[in-house]
Amino acid sequence: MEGIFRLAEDESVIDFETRLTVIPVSSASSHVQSEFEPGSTNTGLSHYQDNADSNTSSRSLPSSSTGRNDWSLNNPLSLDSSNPWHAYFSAAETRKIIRQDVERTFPEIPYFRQIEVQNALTNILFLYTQGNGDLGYRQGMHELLACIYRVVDYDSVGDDCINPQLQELCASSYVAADAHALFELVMKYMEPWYEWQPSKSASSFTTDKSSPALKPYVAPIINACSSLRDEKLRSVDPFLWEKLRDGGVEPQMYGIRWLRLLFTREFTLNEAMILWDGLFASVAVEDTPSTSLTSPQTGFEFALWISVAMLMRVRNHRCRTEPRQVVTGSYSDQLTNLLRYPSIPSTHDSKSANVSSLLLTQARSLMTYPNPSTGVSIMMQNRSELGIPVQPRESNFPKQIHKFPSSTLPPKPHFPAPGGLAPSLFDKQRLPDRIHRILDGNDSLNIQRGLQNTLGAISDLRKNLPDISHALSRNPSWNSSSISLHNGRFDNLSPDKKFSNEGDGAKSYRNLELENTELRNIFETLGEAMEWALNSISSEEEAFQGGRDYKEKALQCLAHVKEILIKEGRGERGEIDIQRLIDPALRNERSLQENSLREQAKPSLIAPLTITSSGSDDYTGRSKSSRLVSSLPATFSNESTTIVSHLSKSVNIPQSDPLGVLP
Amino acid sequence: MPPPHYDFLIKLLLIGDSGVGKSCLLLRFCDDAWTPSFITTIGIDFKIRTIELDGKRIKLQIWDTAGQERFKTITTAYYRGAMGILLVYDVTDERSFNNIRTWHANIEQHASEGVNKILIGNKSDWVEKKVISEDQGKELANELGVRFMETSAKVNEGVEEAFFTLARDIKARLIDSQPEVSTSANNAAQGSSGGGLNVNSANAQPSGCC
Repeated sequence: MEGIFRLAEDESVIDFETRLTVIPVSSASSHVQSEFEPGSTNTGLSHYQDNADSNTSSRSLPSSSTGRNDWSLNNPLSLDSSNPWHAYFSAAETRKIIRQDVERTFPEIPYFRQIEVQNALTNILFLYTQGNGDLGYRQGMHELLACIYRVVDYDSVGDDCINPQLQELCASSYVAADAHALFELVMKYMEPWYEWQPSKSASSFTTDKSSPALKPYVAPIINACSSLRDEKLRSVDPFLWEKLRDGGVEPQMYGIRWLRLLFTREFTLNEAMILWDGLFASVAVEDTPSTSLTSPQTGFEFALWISVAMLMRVRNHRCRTEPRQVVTGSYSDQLTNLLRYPSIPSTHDSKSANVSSLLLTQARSLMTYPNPSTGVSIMMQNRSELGIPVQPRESNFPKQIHKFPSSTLPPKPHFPAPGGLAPSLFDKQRLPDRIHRILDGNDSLNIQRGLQNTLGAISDLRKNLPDISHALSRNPSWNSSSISLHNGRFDNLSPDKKFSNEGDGAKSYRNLELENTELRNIFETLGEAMEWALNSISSEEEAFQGGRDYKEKALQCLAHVKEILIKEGRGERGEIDIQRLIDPALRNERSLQENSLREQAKPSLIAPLTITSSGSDDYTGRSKSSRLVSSLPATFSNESTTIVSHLSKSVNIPQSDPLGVLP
Repeated sequence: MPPPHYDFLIKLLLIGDSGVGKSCLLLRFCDDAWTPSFITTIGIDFKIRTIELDGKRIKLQIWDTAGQERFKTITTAYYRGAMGILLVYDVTDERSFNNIRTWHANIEQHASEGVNKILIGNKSDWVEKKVISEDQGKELANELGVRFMETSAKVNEGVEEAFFTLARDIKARLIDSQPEVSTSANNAAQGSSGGGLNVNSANAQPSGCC
């Protein structure tokens, strides 16, 4: 009986599967799985190959099949659903699909044209699919594995290695096995992004705990792409987000490839490997023993932030061939920039290797401090490191933003160029335009957008000081106190006038101006609070006297700042509780100190910029910048030093171009 | 903004099983190049070529999809606004031919109604491996009510004709049937929302999104 079955199988091998070099065992799912669980893979692969090579003599037929002894069912031609041959054919088909992709993996890299490498990749991918029934093989996995395999192989040592430990760890004979183990591990995090149908297992990433049955299935990759653009990018660069949303390029168009392949198509392989290092490190930090491996629910969250940093990098970048930027471009321009991600070399030759580590640093900052301030500092960093302008060169703002009735506009002041600047550098048109945008009643006064506009306007204002200062600063007492929300400046206004979201265009110029001023005050307050908190955390002994637990207070303060920013970001009014921000005793002490400093400073219309630059020129100076750096996590403090030194450089030049608006 | 370099923008979509040569067809049509080993398409890619038909410059924006993505949540975005679809199979791969029906059903479900289609049997130069005859292709095309053509991206056979035929059909359906559409901005707006046609008159800006 067994002999007949074997004969039938052998014929089928010849007849049906002549293309396959290694024939999978029949009913591979049961056979392979039992013998080669993930984790015992060091020897698994070689056993598997041995088995596969000698399959005609040592193999037995599927044992659990109901139709095992019924020849009418158990034969290659039977269409019965219980026919064990189905598994065999399906496995053969899987291998064929895998092979097809493996053969065209990185066509430009000769290493992947070697037959032994291709065989190993095919085997590993096939083994993986057999252990992950629901998901199977999905295109893209092959490229992840190829990267892992190449790196492991690159590090491997031959039998002649004199160091036994190194030989044990990096033996070339175990390259395939090691790559398999690593691939399984990486896939634990990547699987949600490859999921294409509702997972049958209960541990699905997509299950909505509240109402699992009511919502239509949305693949997790789609959610990840939406979150990348509509939550993360929005929180750090609302202007770019708006442009991308209006442009109509859906985030999955580029996001699927970026995320599923972990950026191997957007960067060179070596650059991508640097990104992977950062990515894996981010997971290693996050994973506590209880969550690791068994339930990596977070996935590669960090990859989403890398993507956000990538979007910000092409924000104002102009390729030679495709001069349109993402920000100013049309649908096709955006598509080209995002689907053909441009290679952006560093402006410093010596730092050319740092293009991806710069991206990692930026992603890390964005993840840690997801707010527009971080977004702005990254734009400045891109300017100094990569030569990407901070502002789009062409002013291409939609016309409908000028909805302000012309009769209510104040007469446009004429702004002569300040003495220190050449008149050719001075854009007379842009300033009024910006002010209109800030004051525009139809603008939803979303705080994030407000910040963006404010920053732009401030940068223009800085250029045009001092002439513009009387034109705008009719509002009283900028110099009165640094904690301006509580000095009763707007107490004569009713709350709805203070901050209205209605946007019906009926606001008076003065109200809008006040709103704008108030917005700046909020930012100023929050920025100062954060500065205080960061200083307290970083340098306990030099900060302030007294035996209090400053760190705890600083953390409370940061938590409150976060609450306010989130609330404001949603368009709600966040009430600032000053007691929670800064310890009252210290506040008095600091107010005194700051007032005296402020008297020496210039008219402080530009004060809100202190929030974004963290090391401002009007009263804090460089020493704060360096303290801020020391308070950042060690992993990116080196890079941050660069940022801050650039920041302080730019802000210390009087009437220069802090946001890089000038060409 | 400079005047657009085209009169009409047509969005095309290439679908079919993995490995049938969709990307190679696109590479041949847009860049007149060929490579035996083309990197696997992940997600979606696109290329652009501007052609001239009856004195009109027509910009073809051709989307190339991954063969494995035939699942609703991902592909609906791809189908949106497509005016013509190239259904591609490999004449040396019976399975890819059999799957054409599935792909066609997908189109019926997700693409806009009346979208122009053409069935393409690629790799026609590979005579010794050929398992699907031209007649089989024609038969299936008749059954589905679409045009049919055999192509070879490798030896550049039938590729131009396939894309031009489809573009001409779309032009006839969406442009020629609407009198004076190209001189009216209002009609252009209707075209882009209704039939998915993006018409650019001489002084209208290309609205981009299609």
